[in-house]
Amino acid sequence: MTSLSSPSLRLNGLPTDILILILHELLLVDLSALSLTSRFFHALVNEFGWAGYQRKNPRPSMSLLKSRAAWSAMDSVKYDVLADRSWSQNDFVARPLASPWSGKEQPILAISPSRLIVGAGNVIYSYTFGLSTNGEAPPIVMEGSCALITLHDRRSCITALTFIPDGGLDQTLCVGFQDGSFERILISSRSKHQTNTTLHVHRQAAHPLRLPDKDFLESLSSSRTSLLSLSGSGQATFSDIETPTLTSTIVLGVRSWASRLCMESTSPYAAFGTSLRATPLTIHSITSDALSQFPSAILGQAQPGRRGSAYQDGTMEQSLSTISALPLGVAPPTTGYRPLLRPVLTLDNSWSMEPIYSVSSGGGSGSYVAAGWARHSLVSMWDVRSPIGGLSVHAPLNDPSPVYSLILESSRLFGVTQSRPFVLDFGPGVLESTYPALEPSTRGFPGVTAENTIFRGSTQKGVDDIGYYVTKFLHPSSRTKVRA
Amino acid sequence: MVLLVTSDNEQFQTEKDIVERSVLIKNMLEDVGESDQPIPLPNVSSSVLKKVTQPSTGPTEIDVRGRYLSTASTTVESPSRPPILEQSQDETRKRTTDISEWDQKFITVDQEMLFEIILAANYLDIKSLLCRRWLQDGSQHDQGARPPEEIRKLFNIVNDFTPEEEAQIKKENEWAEDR
Repeated sequence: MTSLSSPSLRLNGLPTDILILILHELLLVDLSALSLTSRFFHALVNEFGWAGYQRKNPRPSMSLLKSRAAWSAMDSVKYDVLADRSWSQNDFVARPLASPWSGKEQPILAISPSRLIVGAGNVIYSYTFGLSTNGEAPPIVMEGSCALITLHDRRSCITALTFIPDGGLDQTLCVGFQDGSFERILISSRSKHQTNTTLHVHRQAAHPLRLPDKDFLESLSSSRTSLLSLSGSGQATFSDIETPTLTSTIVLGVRSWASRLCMESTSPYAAFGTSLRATPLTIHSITSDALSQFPSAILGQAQPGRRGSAYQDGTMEQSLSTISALPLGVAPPTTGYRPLLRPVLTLDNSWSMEPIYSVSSGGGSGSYVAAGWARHSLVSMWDVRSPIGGLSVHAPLNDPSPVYSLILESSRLFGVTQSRPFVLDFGPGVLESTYPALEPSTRGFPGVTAENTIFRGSTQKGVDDIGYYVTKFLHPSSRTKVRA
Repeated sequence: MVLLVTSDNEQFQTEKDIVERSVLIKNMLEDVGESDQPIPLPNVSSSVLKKVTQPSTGPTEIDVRGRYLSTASTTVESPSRPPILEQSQDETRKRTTDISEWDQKFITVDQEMLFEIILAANYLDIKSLLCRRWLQDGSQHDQGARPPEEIRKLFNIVNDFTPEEEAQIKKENEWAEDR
């Protein structure tokens, strides 16, 4: 390489806009090396390099969103890189987020950039996301709880929960009850002087669903200003949040489990997961504020015979969460044409024969899928880039329960069992104060004492006694590879 | 074939799919339609255009994360070695099989030419030529970035850090080291 000394041939002699374009093509190590060459490049990388890298390597995460706004682009990239590294090393802090509830609940989770909400029985529990600096993990603080109905009646249990848009305040929820009634809940911000844990809410009954006897509300999903509800027997109702009387209802006519609404897409759609073996997951397009009666696409099972009925719900849920990866926009929304889409990937942990109750995607590099199983509070996580491996973890304190609901973010997995919510945090900078302190409890897990609450075995992070002990095992294929 | 005319008035008959790597020319062709008219490129000299459009040897797809290409298949098999710390959004996209000799020759043009190519790539809107290989060690594709000292030497960058500043930034950037 000829070395020319004319100043015009210096790299910083190139127009800055071109240098910025080049920055956007660089890898982490390049950015780091370049920022070490001179003040000019240090400034350029700090100003444009990290931000560009972050845009090209997004790590969506509700609980980090507000903190990220305060972090520099480099701090944000650093957090993501360290979290990704922990994912690849199966390294995390496990924490229960609450002491166990007195009864067995079938709770659900909802998340917004400000709050994590747990709906269990007839109570909602709210956690807020704090801001953090200096490389610490953004804290999660128990805000309080509130019983929505004093009488604990099965028909008045919360069975569906979703945030609805309120201009970024993140305090408005739509809560659905088993009997098909809805409430709009407005959470009042806590005053600084409040010491108790009562959550103050403003409740407003919303237009209820007319469900037949024995039917019940199974799922609720919102997108932009629309709401989609699904009953156990397969009655799907699409409505506008502001004018809830204008609805569009279709009847799927099968046992239905899960729904997802997407209005952001160029061709808005609703997806439904059902027990019907031939068509476990259907996509219905939404045109002129009405659900189409017939699916525009059907996601089939890989090998219908192989997985068997025990897997059926799981497969559906699983497909439902990965649905956004499919090219839905190109499916022609004509009623006659219904392409049957086969899964491109099937995940299992080859040990658990139970159904899957919950599923979510995200995680390290945005390439993980997490599934909550029907028993032993077991959660499996797979990296879709190496799907034959993966990791299964029993939630902290090992509740003998299904994992009813999961939310996977870039660095955190929120989950909930019949007894309590929990978190697995793969991000850096987790401190004792990051999560709510809990009363020592032995319920359901005799022998939990200070001695066996060890964790995050690796000393690399320099943390100890922050997480709870959890049983984790690598899926068989990963273990073989580890030995090899 | 498309007829291109450079700033020094040389004419080039070039394959359409090669010139269409340039978004500028592609758009031009779409606007003009089929035509025998030469396309003037007043900002590109003939020597640079030759470099940019070398037909048969040019890479059809330049993967800026090329250094992982050789390990891609093993990472799928072996989750214990984390698949790549560089998480492009697009890990699954089709990858070329190797970094071609072409690339290596390409980067060993002299620096004046290299800058001209970068400028031309910007003008012609050829994204693939504005890529990280300018900083990569051409002889060792798997070794990641060149050390800062080498980048300085290569591009005549004057180190204006004090030793303390340099040590400080090195420490701040430790997390970004490839592991």
